[in-house]
Amino acid sequence: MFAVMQIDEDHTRDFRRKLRPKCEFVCKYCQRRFTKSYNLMIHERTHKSPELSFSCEVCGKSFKRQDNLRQHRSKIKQKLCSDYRMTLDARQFYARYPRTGSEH
Amino acid sequence: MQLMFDIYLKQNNVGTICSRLMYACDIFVRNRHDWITEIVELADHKSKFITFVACRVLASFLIVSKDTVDENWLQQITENVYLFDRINRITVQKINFSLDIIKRIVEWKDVEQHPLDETSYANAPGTIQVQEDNPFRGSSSSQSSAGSSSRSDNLHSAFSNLQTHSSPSTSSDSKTSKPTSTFKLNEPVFKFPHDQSDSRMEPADSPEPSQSRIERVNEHGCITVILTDSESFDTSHIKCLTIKTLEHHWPILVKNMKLLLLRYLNLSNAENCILTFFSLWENIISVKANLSVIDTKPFYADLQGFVDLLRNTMLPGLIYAHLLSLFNEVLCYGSTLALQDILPEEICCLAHSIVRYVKDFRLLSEVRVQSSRSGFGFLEHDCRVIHDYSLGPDIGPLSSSIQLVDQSYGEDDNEDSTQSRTEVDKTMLQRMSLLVLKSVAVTVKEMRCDSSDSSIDSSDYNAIQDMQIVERSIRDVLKKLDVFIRNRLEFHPETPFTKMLIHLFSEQDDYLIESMVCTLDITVGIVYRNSMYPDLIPMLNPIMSFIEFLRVVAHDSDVLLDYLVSNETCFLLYLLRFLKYVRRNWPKFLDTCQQMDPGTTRGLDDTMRVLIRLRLQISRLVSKSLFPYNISPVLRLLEVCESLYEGNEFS
Repeated sequence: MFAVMQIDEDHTRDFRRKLRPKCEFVCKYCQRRFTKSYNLMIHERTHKSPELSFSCEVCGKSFKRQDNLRQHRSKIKQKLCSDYRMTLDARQFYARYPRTGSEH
Repeated sequence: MQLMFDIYLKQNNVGTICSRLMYACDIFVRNRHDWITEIVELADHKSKFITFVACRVLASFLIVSKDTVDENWLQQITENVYLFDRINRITVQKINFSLDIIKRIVEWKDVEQHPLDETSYANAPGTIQVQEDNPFRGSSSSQSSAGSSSRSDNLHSAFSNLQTHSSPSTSSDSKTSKPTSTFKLNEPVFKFPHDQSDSRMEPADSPEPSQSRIERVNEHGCITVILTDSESFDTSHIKCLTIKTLEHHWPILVKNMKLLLLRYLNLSNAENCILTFFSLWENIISVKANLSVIDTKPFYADLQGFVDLLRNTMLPGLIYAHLLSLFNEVLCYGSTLALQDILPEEICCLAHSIVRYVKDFRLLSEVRVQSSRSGFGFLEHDCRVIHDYSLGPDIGPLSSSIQLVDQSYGEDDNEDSTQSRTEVDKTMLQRMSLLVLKSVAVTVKEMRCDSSDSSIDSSDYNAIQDMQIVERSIRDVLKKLDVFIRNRLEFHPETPFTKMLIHLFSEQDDYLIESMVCTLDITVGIVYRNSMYPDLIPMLNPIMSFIEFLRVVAHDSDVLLDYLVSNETCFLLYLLRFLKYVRRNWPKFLDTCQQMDPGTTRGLDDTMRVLIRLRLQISRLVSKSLFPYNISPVLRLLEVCESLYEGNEFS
């Protein structure tokens, strides 16, 4: 469909202007073609399950959205507060877990 | 079997599999007693529960078997789709059965973890202890779901110990702890774990290579296999194979489905079968399926034949909605088409047809977007809607009558029942509007590519005339879309088009942002062409949509950051293009802000405050190298806009 033509001979010179040979970037998931590398990157992000980037300081679990991490934090906080009051020094807990909810 | 395959797949995602489970699955892959045929034959069973489970078992099994799959099994399953003499109830049921299996395989996601899914917590007793005494932690650290930061190890072990001792409370917990508990029952066998693994090695080496596995025995005596080869996590092979098998029979399947749709819709199960067919088609074509565009090309061929169906407004609502959804998936504007220079021909044809149908066949004025009687689209013809559900007399007079199905927005609808009857099906409205917008955007983009093609001479009168016809129809279509949305949602006659769009899509963020990309690209495309219809420019003003969008997200830059980081929407593309547009049209940006908040600079200040805050947040993440991809082009544009804003304030 998008065959790349080899243009070497002189008599095809005038085609070159029309075809404007561009370098092509091919998506490694679906082989669709793009002419800009950044456009390919934007497209390829659709294929990937997103890089998990917001990670919880206590358990290391990662989230792709900040609000999900926030929800997780409040959940874990409740859990920790109820289950670990006996086993964990409160100071140690709050050192890991600043009350204000640290941001990245 | 279903439960076992599910657990296998779950553990496979994490990277450690119980060796017994693996052994059991190996036996199934061997298919000694041809159990697969037996299950395929369940396709026409009377009980729908049995066919449902049979279908799920086969789908999960094929995903489990991955590279060791036998093509004959796939053949056997697809046979249902074409091997029959005439369409009747049984054949429809069999087709549905096979299509459902294929659909489940195609839509399978290699890493499927819901962000709110806490199963990795429920899994904690199993997986984390393996992690703890795992000397190969480095090799498996790439799996983020299993990785735990070492600094919190002691806290972590305390946590997982407590988890082990507490009784399982959730269903997923009990499910995952099942293998460990069975092993406890089989205590004597597991006194000799090495013998077990030796006996396992003998049959295992033929179907799957075993040298890539590392075995660990944890303190429960449960042997787990740690997978290190990347193939274990890749299902693209089985997907590709399934599609290839289906491809040969696709034309005949399409023909039969059309027949079913137009003539045999009264057969029981027919509607269900058609819905499965459409979802399967949508899944194959979807960009997110990660299938090669070359492999899926045959599946684009028959789309054109189904565009006509859009004019058949008597189709059952649910089927119509699925049809719209399929076409929306084909016109993958925000994820792909907007980024490409040359658009595939089939997609352009589809877009043209839709533009033509709206312009010439009054598609928008005839389509039924009223939800049928109830607020639920899935309650179609045969369903009787319960309007008043009375509780027993002993409940008391206060709550003697409860409106069950007519769930509407406020209490007003209870009094005015005629209003709830004509309530608009918003999903249908959204899908239709987005489809039309994307079709216009694709047409504009194609026109723009053509005009920059140097082979068309500027003196070529025919070409210019063609362009003008296309432009006129685009204008026509957009005006019709405006009237369509305005009437259905009862907006004020003077509400700007862009504002209506934002509110139409406000609760569906992927649609919302894709529609904003469309209006932005249409505007840029029209201006680029020096359009002879200047009235379109204020109608589509992309700056106005952005300001309205900020209002919807309450000027919260966190929301924008989340959109940028996640890949659920095409916000990265949108922001990049929007900022470029603002940089090029700064005076217009100032004007529009002024217009939105007349008399003050509040509009401008509010907008800029969000953008500045966003820039600070991004640069903070970038400096800690926490941003998941290269965001620098956006960052640079944000800086440019900021300096324009500051320069403007002082002048």
